[in-house]
Amino acid sequence: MLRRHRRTLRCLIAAGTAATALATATACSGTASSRGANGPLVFGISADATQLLPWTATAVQSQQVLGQVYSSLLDLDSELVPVDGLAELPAVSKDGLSYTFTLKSGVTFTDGSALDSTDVKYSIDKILSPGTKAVARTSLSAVQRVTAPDARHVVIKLRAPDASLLTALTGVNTAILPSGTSLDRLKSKPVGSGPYAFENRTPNQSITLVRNADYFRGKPGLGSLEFRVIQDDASMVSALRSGTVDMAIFDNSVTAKSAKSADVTVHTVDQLDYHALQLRADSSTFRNKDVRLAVQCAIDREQVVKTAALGQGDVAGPITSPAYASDPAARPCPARDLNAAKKHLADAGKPKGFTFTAIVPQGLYSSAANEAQNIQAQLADAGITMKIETLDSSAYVDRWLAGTFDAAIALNGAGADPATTYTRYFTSGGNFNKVAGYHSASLDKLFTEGIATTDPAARKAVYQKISRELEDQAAWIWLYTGRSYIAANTRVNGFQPIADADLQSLWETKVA
Amino acid sequence: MSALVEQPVAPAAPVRREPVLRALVRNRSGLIGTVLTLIVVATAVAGLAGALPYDPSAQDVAAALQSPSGGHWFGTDQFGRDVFSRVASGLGSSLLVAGVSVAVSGTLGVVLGILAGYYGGVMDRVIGVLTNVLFAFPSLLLALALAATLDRSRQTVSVAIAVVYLPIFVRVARGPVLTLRSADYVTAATAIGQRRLATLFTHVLPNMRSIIVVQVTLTLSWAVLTEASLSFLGFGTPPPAASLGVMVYDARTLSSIAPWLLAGPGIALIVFVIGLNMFGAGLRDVLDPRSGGRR
Amino acid sequence: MKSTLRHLTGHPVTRRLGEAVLTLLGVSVLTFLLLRVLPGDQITASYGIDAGDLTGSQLAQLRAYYGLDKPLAEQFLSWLGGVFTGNLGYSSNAGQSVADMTAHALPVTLELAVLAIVLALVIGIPGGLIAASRPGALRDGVAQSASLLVLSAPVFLTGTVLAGVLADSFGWNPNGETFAPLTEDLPLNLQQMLLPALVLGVSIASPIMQTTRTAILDIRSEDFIRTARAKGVPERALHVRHVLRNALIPIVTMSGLQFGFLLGGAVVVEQIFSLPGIGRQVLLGMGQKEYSVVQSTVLVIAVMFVLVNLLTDLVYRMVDPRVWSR
Repeated sequence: MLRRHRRTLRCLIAAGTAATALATATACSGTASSRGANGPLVFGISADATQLLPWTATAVQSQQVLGQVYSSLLDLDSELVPVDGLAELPAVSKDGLSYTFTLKSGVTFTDGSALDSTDVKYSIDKILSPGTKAVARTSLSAVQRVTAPDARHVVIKLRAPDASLLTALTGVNTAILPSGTSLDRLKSKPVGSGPYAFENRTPNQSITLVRNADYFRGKPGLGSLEFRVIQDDASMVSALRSGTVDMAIFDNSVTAKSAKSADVTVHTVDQLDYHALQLRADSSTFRNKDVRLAVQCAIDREQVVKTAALGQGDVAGPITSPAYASDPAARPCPARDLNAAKKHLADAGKPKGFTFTAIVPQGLYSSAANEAQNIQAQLADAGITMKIETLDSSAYVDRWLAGTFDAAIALNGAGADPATTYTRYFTSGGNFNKVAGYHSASLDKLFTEGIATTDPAARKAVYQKISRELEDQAAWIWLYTGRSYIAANTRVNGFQPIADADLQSLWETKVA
Repeated sequence: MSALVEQPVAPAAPVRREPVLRALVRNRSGLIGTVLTLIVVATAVAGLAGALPYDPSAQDVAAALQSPSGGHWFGTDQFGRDVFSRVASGLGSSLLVAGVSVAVSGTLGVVLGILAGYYGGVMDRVIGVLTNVLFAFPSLLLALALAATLDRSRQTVSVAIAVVYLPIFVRVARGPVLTLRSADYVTAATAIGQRRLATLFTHVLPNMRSIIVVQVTLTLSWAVLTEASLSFLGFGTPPPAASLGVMVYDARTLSSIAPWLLAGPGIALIVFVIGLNMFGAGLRDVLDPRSGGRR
Repeated sequence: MKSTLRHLTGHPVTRRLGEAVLTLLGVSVLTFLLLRVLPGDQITASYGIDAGDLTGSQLAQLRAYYGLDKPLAEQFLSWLGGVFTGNLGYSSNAGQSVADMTAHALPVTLELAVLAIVLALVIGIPGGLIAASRPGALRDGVAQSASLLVLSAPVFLTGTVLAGVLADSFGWNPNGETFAPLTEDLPLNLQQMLLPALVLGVSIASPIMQTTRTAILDIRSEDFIRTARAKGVPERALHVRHVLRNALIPIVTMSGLQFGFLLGGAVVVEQIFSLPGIGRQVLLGMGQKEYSVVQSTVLVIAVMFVLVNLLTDLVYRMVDPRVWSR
């Protein structure tokens, strides 16, 4: 009661400050929220979730929303190790070619229909079919055949052993969809088996989900959950501070800090995605390994973190998945060494330095331009001139995919499994090898070995070797991993912030 | 920013009692405008010439995020760069972009306007439709689209802004030409055998001088704002060159811990535009007695 | 017959209409071409870097799906044909037809523009009258300086600062709420419109004030006013009956022009205050490379602009019949 009173007063003052003819006409209703204990919890997102079909959802906002609506066969725990989801962890045959999954009993879709092995087989078959254009098709490419011996069992047969299969079956890109509903209908009205059911969407404004009381893990904490689109960071902060939005994720520490107040707490979580200066070793500029090493030695990564991320990040090597992480000290010139850089330049026959152009995205992530400017200044000390070519996001993606650049400032996605993250870049047949610009016979061999090795310790050793070759060759210049900031109103209870700002614990979250 | 169009002003009779400059400094807004503009332009020129306390893109991480002091008048940013030097260099960049774009749109627009007004007929219709097309296209969106289309550089931003302001000059020039065409001395010049085109530029153009000068100063101020808005939306001058709009945009996220990052470029931008506007208003008062300025 | 035709084509109204159609066609062609020159297309815009995993035939399918495989002329004509039959295209990102999207977005921008222009007139006309009442005096100087100050502050600066201060100091942030359409929640809707309309209104109050001031001073020096004054018409009546009425012509023209610009020029304000208006629709469409969204929405904006101009012209001609002969 008292609180509401105070809000009304504030509101009147505010209206008075903005005194105009209109102020008198605006009654102070509405603003103060009248949201109850059951929600809705309002989650601010910076862009609309436009891709409602989970298999082709690439934008992070779409994945966040769909993660609440759909479930997958398996999930990841807070250490990003696969655990049971719709199915228990599978029984694997001795030759590593046959995985048998047992589905949990009594799982239903939110339209009431049962989720059984038919839906699982349908989903994986559809994902593998080129016509669907599913993004997980490449990571499931080892799958030969899916069979459903009975309603609760699914058997996945592989062509060759694939140690990354379990990770590949987690996440919305391999969500299980109802086989009885056409994809076109699901595109506009998703039907899943997640903790919340899709209610409605107002494009570019909001998406509302409601509790799925039959969720297979238990009764979800929120009566309803609204994802609200607020594009501007500053507006998002205002909305959090005034309590009109309950939760939001930022990737900028200062913005996150400015959202902090008596009513808003901010959790910091690590990201797996890595910031890098990609060099294309098959371009004429960077063909010489010494040229690449000169760049490697001329950059103080701590300084990049300090200036571009305001100190909020960790210097990292190529592999960032917790179970396989590279040691950032195991690289040539782990600390900046200008003399070594100059020596490499001399060895390359360019004692006076050289000039190259880096493409820099704009609008994809906030730190790109700052990283570019700091690296430019640092390289100048070694006599290396880096020109900055700023491109808007789609122009950047075009150039990046075509591989028509010498160097690129990039923030690349990394998953829980290093094979999924790097096979497509650094194997000679990889879809993105043109982008990476580097491959070798030894890397090809190591990647093949890595995917076939299921023993965790042996597997880790293989990826350490891969990591080492990438660093020694300075295939790219790996810089750091950033952090995400999850801001939440104090009335939000039970949310577990975990790495990669995964929202899976939203199902247990409650609001006071 | 909404673009504005001035009412076409009837040409002033070519009699003037005192030199423009002296009249300008006797006019209150003219004086303030002249002083502000001179200060800003001097700073901008210093920025362009590199005559600054610090190199605007030199980084000194040890001195990052310092508040304003004797050493750094406007403080430093997260890279330890001197904000004053960056503001000055940003002003230079604004001035350059605005200057080039207004020069291009002014020259092209006035020529088209004179041709349309003088020849009339088909020429007038065609130019009229082209002008209308550019007018009906939302101006900021047009600039955005143009800036996103071309390679990102100062030149392309200038061209984008020039296209947006072209139609204003066409209209401003066309109106008076219609009136002047039938003026006695023009008819006389044509009658004594001067070629029409020559007449246009020897007799008609000089008589529109005052209108064009006023329009140029006003358009300069809009161009400065448009450049800043474009940069703010991410389509302006690329880094590491300093740009006031980009500085404001970047400063917004840091404003809670380093408000001086917002204050420096924000105030510089406002002072620049106020100066140009007051200068323009003063010029209008002096050159065009009808506008009813201080007499 | 021929002479009637000539008479008809030569008639100012027909000519204006013809010009309007040509203008709209020009705008459409320009939009279409600009979009095709922009780097990237809807496939890369929606798949991002994952487009690199698509095979050649998958890409071809997607191109066909988005209609990108046809020759440019065909793409343009098929869009234009759609427009004539009322089909403005479909947005796969919004899951709606562009006509539906526009039906929601246009009222928002219209409301914003109307509120802003009303505010601008409320501030601008009295301001201009005060300034003109004693040119060169202190009040004139104050009014002029104030108008210059607001004219010079960029909307993106005043908008963010104002919204930030109100939210931080008073916890008043109506624009953080889901947008409330006019017909559903009037009080909240007005709160959400207040700041953006204020920022825009103040910024266009300045030219309206200047126009008012100039027009009043102009007319006051005209012969018929001097005559009326000499005849002993009371000063107040003189002002209202003669000066103000005649000054309305340029004020109407300027307001119409500003209103036209507001329809498409509110992009920045809509962006800062999260208003789902038509400017934001274009901007989002550009980002997502949804060609038909951008083409159709820009056309709608241009139609509004042309309509407002025609209306202004009409009012202008009604007030001042001499214009017909020009």
